[in-house]
Amino acid sequence: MKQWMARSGFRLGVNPIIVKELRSRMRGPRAFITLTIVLLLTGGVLFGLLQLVLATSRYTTVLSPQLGQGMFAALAYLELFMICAITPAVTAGAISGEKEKQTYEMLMATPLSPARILWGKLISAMSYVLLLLFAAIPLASIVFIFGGVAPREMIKALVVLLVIAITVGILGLFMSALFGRTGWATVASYITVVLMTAAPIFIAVLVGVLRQSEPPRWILAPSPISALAAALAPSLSQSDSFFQLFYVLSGIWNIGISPISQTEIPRPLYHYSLPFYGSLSLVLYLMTMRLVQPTRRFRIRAREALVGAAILMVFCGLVAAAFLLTAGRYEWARANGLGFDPTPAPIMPPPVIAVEQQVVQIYPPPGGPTPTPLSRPTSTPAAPGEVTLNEEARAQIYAAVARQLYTVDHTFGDQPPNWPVIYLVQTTDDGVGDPNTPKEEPVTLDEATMQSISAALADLPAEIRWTASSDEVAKDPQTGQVEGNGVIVTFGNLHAQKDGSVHVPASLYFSGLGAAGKTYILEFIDGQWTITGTTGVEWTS
Amino acid sequence: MSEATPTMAIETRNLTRQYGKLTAVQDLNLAIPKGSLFGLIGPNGAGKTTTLRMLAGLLEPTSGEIILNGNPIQQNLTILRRQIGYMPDFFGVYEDLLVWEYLDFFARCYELPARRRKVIIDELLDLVDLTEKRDAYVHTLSRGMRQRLCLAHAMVHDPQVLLLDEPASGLDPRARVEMRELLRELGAMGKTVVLSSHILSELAELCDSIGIIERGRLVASGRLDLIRAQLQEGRRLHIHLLSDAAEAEAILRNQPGVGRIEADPVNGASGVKLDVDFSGDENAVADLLAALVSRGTRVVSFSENRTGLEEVFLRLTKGEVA
Repeated sequence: MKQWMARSGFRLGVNPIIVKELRSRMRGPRAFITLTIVLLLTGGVLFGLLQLVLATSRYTTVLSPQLGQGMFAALAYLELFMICAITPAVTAGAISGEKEKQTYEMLMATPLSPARILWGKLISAMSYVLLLLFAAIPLASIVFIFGGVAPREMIKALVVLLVIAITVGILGLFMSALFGRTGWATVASYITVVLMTAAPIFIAVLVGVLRQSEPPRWILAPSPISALAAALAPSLSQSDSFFQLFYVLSGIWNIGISPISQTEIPRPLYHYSLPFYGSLSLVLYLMTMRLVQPTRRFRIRAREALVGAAILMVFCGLVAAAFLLTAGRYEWARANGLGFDPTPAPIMPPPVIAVEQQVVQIYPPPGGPTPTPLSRPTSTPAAPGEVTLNEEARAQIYAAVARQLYTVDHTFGDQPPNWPVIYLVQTTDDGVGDPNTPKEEPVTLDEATMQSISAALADLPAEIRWTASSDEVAKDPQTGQVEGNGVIVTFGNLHAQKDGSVHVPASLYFSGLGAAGKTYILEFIDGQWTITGTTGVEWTS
Repeated sequence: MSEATPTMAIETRNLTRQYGKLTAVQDLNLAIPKGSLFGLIGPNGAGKTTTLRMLAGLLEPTSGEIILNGNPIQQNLTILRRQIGYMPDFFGVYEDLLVWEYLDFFARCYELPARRRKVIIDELLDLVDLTEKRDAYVHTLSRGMRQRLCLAHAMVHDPQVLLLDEPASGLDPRARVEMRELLRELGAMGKTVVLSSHILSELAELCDSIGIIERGRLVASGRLDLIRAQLQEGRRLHIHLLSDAAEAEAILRNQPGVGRIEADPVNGASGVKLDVDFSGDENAVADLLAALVSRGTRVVSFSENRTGLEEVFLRLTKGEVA
């Protein structure tokens, strides 16, 4: 066992290659300069984005979490780009560099096994790449100013990036050992990375065009762009207005992303991408182990083939086990027809953060005009448990939501700011609450509904004004603050649930960095629509 | 060639290496005794480097076997690697490493414990006379210093056998002398050193045995003096006489083994000088002198012009070396 471990490159004690590589790589100004350049680049891009975002927020209503999510996605893609740009340059010279420097023979003459040399090279090269990657994480914290990205999302994106980095790193090592010349190895690595990234998308488009139908999504699995998009997907939606800014990006996005509601594959795309990268890395690593041998590089011995096959089998077993363990959430949920509806929500993992189904306190309207009693709709529902909502119910629901936002969820803690003006937006927008709320077409409220909403809110210490869109409300060009200390309330559509409750996204906005949004749950209790909680992600800035 | 020394450091049996159709080394049978300084001589492309790389376990022989200290090398290469120190003819240095780190790296490759590494690095630097350069960057060293550093790297694990490929190539005369001193020192330490060169004078001064290799074949091998004797088709004797040349010639003609005789007057001195081609061992040479003296010939000087290795080499390779 000990011998076997020694031969396979796993040995206690520090790998001399790592010591040597770190000594020479981190010495002198080179590493320092590279790190500085990478950080300046990341910082510069982020700063530019921030400026763009702030500029945008002056003219259109872009909600803070959307900005946060957009910037997070941009940052993730920047990191992906850097990984693909830096890693091959670092690893493609690892083996061939020793050959060119004529030190390979000297290494081979020592008892240091080729496997151990390879392992040392991989660890030292990856630690350098990861240093560059992790150094940018503090910069990424700018995302938290805007909110909208949960730590879980961040970790998920980071894991995908990490796996991609390792795969590209091993690819570079493989090319380095195969060609034995750094120039060729570098070129071959970059070409392969570009092919791996672009070819699946290209093929998907081609298949789509030829078949005149949606191409099968699994084609995209090898592409890092799609894998990252799938990992980011829950925190982003294609309708995010932020992404509409980048037409080119959103084009790639729309092609590259794999919505979870795809009927042909039950899981997010990255669930397939990660095992693909894992097995690719393993195969390349095993092949490289053979290639670094000084003698008979291309002759694979039977025992090596067996060991390699065994390792791959173990890996496949692990992947299969992971898939089986989580099958309850994906394949089986689909097979049982549970939540087999056009909305992705039920088959998704429980969404990202925080406050779910939290019971919210409500200020009862003190005195004032008592709302007309509403009757729970009983007239033959289309589907069991579904509710139909009449005009009165709509008005009552929106009024309750506006009241809740103005009096409780105003983000100012215990002291209600009591803004003197409330602007209510006539047109609904489903993007204002929980990002996972299904998006439906905007609806413009009719005159009667608006009047009943205004009437229901008459007791609040504010003037109620209706506006066609939040853009029409005058704002301070610098801070984005609503003029006259007003506050804008935007509603989403009413989403009737099977259990009889209604989900309503809504947001409150009073300045560029002062806004909040969530999706409320309302239930018909004692003849009145009452807020009983919220669902999904809430955002605040 | 076939010296029956029981303790051989390296033996090869019908060692052959082919690169495609090209045969680099063919049926090489070497026997290198322990503790000897063995020189492998041959023109460029004769197969010296191929041979050394096979001995170092870096190249698999097409056929034949290598026996290191009685063990076939192919079987447990990693263990035998610890007994061999190899210095390639073209070697690299790692940029951005200090001299001591360079040696430390190789010492780590041989898994020496930290304390031992520290001691051995200082000892080696002292041996190769680089103590002052301990904390200098490797790439600032001169060619000769690098060569010595490379030699030191091959010795971090205190191997019994050192394989040095062209250790003196590219060195200026002074550095060459230093390298020679160093190798002598190693010989004195009882290490078996195998070195290659295409410059013969280098090896002649240094080695106690040589192997002459040409076009992948071993032409001659064995102790230097024995090879000389084996190759000695004739000695050239210089005799300075005061007496009559014709008389002395007559005496010499009567002795066995005497070939061509040339008589020249000696410049700036009286008497005559004879150059005599003679074949025979040292006893025969002594007999020849005794015969001359007993007949009353007055001999001022009697000396032998030993054939240089260069001449042996040229003779062996039949002048085919360019």
